[in-house]
Amino acid sequence: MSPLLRPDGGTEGAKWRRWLLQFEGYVRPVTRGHIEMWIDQFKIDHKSLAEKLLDNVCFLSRGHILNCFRDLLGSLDGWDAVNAQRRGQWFFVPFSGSAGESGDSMVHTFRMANNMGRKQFNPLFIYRSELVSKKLTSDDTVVLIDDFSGTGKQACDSWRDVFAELLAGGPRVVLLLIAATNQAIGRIAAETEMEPVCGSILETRTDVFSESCRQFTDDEKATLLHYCRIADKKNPRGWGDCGLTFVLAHRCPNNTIPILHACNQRWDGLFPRHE
Amino acid sequence: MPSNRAKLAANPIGVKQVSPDDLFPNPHNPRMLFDRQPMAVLQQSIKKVGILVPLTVYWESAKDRYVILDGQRRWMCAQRVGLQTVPVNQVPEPSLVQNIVTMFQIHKLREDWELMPTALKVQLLMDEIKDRNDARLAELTGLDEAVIVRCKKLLSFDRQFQDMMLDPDPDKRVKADFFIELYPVVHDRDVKQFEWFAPKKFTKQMLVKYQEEPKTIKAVTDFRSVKQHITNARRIHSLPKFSKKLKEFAEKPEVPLEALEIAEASVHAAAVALTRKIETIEAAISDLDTEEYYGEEELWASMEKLMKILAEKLRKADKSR
Repeated sequence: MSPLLRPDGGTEGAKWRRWLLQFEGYVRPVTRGHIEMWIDQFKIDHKSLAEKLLDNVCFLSRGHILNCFRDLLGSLDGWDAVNAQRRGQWFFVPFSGSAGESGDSMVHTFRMANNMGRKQFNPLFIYRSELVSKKLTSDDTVVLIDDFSGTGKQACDSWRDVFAELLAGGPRVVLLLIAATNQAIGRIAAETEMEPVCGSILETRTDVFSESCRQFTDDEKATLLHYCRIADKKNPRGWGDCGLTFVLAHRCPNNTIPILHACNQRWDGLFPRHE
Repeated sequence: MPSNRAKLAANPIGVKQVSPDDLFPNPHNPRMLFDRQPMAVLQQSIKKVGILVPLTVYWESAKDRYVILDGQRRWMCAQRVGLQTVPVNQVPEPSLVQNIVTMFQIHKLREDWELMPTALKVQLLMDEIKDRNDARLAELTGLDEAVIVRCKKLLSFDRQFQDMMLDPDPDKRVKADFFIELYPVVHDRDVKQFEWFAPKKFTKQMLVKYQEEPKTIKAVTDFRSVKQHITNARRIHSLPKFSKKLKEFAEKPEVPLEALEIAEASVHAAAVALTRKIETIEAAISDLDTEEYYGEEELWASMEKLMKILAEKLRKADKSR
């Protein structure tokens, strides 16, 4: 019998079923053993807080990501799967990472989600280094594909350092993200010529340490921060102080609090970012 | 190529005053970074006397806005000192290639800039004007010929490697120098003949050795040593042996650079270097005027010492004649 369905009774059993179902499909499978070991890192008085944190993890499954990519492309003005009915040229480009890395795998997921795996769509999917040679004009659309933006800093820096020059012909540039914080969306829109289009927007209250987060009391926040400092002394609130509890099935963002993903001698996260 | 340059130049069509807020920086400007000190001097001057030389702009019809062709620093200073209007010289909207050429000519390439975007624009230019001559491209763009050569080297690598130089994450971005230093190894005439050699695979393997522990390529300049080992092996006709070593070096991340050394080849290389030095000393001694240097006791003593060492070495090697 699957451990998921083990009848260990009542609310206790429901709790495990809920977590295992919710976190199913993470790149490193999350088992009951992993969860137990993770909770065991907390002192006995803090174990219920650890469980509460797990209940507040926002986990986007692969299915959700596929749906998200489908919906986002469908929402883009001027797009049509039929070449003749599209407005201008369209190109899809991995925003981050290099061939074989996450940006590349996001583009692959995007293609699969939108039934664009066939050869006829190959010319639409290009390398960053091909953008200049396409001689893009304002009639054309470039869709840069990525999974997540926490602070928007990297997106803005890379626009300035790389993309502004590669996309200088003035095409419409869409940065298509599965999720982003509202801070990142605002910054990208203000500081770049990219139009951020995003499946899920994480509001300020998703920062567990922010005053607007009502899920945790001040004492609980302080306790979480204590453990986060153990997990990552340099970025206890997650990269860019985002304080997120957000996890994508293929990888946990580094803006998420480190007790969920950090793996080092002091801490063993439930959602490690690297193999 | 003067004819191209003339063809690509933009023609002025009139001067007018516009608000700095109605102007936009040129996206083809190679970089937005400007040295602070000269900017401060310019800002002071503009504060005192305003802008004397009109900015060159064009009307971007697709976006209904003025774009700066020349004068971005003046525009930035005008914004900072709060000028209501700035003089602009409007020219016809340039073609993509005209715009790129103009930006190249106005903005000097800085050493710390990423070279790959520039290389891609050089590629576009080469395609458009159907000319790959280094000198003519240098003349057209205002770039040094050496920069054109570096750009071409980068363009010789596969797209996936070009993309690595354009990675939005500066920590993941591979510096152009890596590929420029690797170029002579990947394009070595003998290496290209090794039956196992595939440039793309080899480049990937070198990236692993450079980026991942135990980092057996510690610096991009290590490729110069690799090239030297190839040259040494070639001199003593030991390329088959070297091919095996290079294959193992590429395939196994833990194999260090020193493993490429072929002892005989290194000895030969050292012998060649020593022979060159001896030839230099030989010439100097031959030219020596004994009368003029008669009183230089230290010189004669060291020559005597050298003679004894030479005799001893020749005797030991059974090379005395």
